[in-house]
Amino acid sequence: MTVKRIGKPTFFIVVALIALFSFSAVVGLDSRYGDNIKTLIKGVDDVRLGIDIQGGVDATFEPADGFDASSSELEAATVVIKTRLSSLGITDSEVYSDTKSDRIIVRFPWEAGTTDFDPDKAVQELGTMAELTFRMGTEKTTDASGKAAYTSSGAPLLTGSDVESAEVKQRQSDTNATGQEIVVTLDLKESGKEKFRLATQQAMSSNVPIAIWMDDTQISAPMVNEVITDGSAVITGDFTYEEAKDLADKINGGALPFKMEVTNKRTITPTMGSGSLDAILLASAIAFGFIAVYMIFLYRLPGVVAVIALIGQITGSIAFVTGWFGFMPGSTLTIPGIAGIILAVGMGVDANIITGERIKEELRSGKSLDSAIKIAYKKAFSAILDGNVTNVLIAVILMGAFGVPSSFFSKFLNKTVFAAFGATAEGFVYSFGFTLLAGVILNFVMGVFASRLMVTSLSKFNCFKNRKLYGGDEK
Amino acid sequence: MTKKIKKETAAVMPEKVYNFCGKKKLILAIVIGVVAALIVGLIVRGVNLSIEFKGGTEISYNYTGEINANDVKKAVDDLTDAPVNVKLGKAIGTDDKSQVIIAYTSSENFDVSTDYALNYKYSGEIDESSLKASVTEYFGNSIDNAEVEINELSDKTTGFTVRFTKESFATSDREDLTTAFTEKLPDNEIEYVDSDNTVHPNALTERLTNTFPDNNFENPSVNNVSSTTAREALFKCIVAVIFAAVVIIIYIAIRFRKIGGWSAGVCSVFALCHDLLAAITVSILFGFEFDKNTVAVLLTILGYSINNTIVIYDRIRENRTIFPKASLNERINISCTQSMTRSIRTSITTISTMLIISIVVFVTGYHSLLSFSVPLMFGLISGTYSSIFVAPVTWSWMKNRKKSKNDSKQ
Repeated sequence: MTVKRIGKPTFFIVVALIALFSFSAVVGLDSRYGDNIKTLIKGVDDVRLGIDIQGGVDATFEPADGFDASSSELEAATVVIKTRLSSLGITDSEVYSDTKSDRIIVRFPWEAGTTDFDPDKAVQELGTMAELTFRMGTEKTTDASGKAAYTSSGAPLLTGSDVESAEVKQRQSDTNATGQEIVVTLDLKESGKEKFRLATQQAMSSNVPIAIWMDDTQISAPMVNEVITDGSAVITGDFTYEEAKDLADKINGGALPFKMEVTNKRTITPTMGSGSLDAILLASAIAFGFIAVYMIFLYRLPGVVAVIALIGQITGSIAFVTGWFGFMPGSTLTIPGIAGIILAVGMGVDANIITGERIKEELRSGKSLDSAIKIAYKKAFSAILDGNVTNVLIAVILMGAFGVPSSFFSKFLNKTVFAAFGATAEGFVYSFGFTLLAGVILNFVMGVFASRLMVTSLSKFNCFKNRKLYGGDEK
Repeated sequence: MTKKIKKETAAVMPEKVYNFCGKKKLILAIVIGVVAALIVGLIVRGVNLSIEFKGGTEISYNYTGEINANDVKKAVDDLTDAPVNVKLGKAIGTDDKSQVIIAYTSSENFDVSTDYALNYKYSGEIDESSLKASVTEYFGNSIDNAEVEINELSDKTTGFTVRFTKESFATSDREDLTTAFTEKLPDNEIEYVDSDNTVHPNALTERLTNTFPDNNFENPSVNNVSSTTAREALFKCIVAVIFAAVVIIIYIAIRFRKIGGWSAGVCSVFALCHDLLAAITVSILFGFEFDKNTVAVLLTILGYSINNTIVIYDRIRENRTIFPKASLNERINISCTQSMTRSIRTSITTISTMLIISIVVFVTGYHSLLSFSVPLMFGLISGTYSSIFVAPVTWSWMKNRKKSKNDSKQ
């Protein structure tokens, strides 16, 4: 990172950018058309808070149609529900299975900005609790009530528990005019490979498609082009991206070992009450005020710069949680998530202290102001780099171990280090890793890059040339 | 040229260098002290695993009027040693009823079984003795209080009721029982009608009714909370942390290879274990519940402790070129002294943040957050201490021992 020319205006540009960013991250941006409010940029109001603070929904799921689920099937269903919650960015949840009475109890917080508190709508957010099956042929029969039901071709070939994952991919095509086609790839677990081989063989010989059903709805019926032995198949069918994504989501999300229905639902009032949020905010405000005064008192001008950088870092963390950055989905603000922010902010303060101390040291060793600042940032950077990179490693490992199984790191880690465990998505550890990673990235942007630009730029002003302002030469 | 280096060295060299490496015994004493406190805490207090990690029972009641979750918690707290968690809610259905959900991790002190009463109807004359025999046969030795009572149903048809007390009786169990009847008595067209189940009166129900007589606690329902998935997640988390520690050791070994990275990496993880132990000890001594937030505390300390240690290592790495002639111990002492101001100043900000949070949540009454802020505060204190004492000193000890071993070989 070499910054060739940093002039006087740089300071104002950086401060203006941080201010603009912070303001939009905190306040958000809504556009109104009459009663319709569309959120363009998510602000603090759009943060989904934990159950303790905000309250939420409690729903009891039971196997439908008197199905007797075994303990392991219940645990498998529990994992599916946890994964769905995580992939929705709901990282604060309680999912219990009650193996004695065959139930799964799910609790999760209201969506941000919920006003009608309708538990039915909230439960719908979890997606369909239908059973996914693969069946031979596409014939439908109609039951007494006129609803479409399964074909008469007998028992399902595969169920949701045989499916590892489905993904949307783009590939070369000979038939399509554009030369590209969108397909859904399907990966089966060990348990499904042999079943699928037999199924594809049979489908080939009798020239019928294999239909994919969610309960009573047929969602896709691909033709079989070859016998598939390795358990990885490609579903083609002139999909648009949205259609393919929808199908893949249904297959992934529908991987429940049995069909479930909601037997009981209730709302949960926040255990700590909205007052707890005020208490946390009050504590944070006091702590921030203290740190600001302390930093300015110790490091003067670089201290002021550090405070500006810290504001950017804290609002940046909020921006990550709300999903301000389009490429990363939002998350739920939980206590573990706050812990991640605290750790990252603590490291941000540390970066500023390390640099501040270095500037003082270099000034005392008799260097000119310009070279002292330059050398101090250079020397401090090696310590900051190593400290922050280790935290990136920690964050990535935690996010990989407990993230949504289809994400990149999860795929890699779950097959190697965590092979002994199932692919569990555990929201609370994930949200810690998420805010920590976000914070460390911001640390490089704000604590190192922005603060260096600001200090260097300020030192060009004649009124800020006094070495005392940087903690040097007290004599 | 040499003159210039000397001048710069003199300027950078701190006025007073503290002898960190000489404090081996003090450091050992503190490490032993922490471990001893942990053992005492384990014996006296024990570990309070929270419901998601230990499993347990949730009983919910309908109630009328207004109650406060904290009052309910206070009223039932002494019924069990384990922490009790109380939530309030509203059932959604035909009539919106207020509900209270009481969760606790041990089932020793409450009888959570249910009084089941299953109603059946039949036709013709029934053989009472074979009916009783099929019930006894079905339950075997699992319960001994099953009763069968023949009665007349409201629509003048003949029926009977099976009564027993059991912890749980799922729909599939009921179907099995019905099959047992129809097999034994195929001529009576036995058919299941409905059931009136009530939770067996227990200490909890009694206490609630006595303490809040106006709130009409009724219709209790029981959920058994299985801890399997959460526990697996906890184990996975431990494996993840161990894996992270290995990755960190490798990273340090590469980045600090000039000063003997492997041993430095091992020592930083040793210092980390020290800090984690300190936080766990504090959590146990205060009697806090071990829950998700505790896991978050330990992960935070993981990051903080490693960062602190690395800042010191960075100084040692840098001082290798500035003081090439100094012995290892001297270099460590100089580096620790130079970094001390930074260590203390950073720690003041992080520790006081946790102190402020602890005080505010204590004053405002949201005590449940203390189990997060207090152990974290002590973990941070330990992290400061271990980064300037434990890690560099054990590292110097390791390096010097290796060196003397090599020397004696020659």
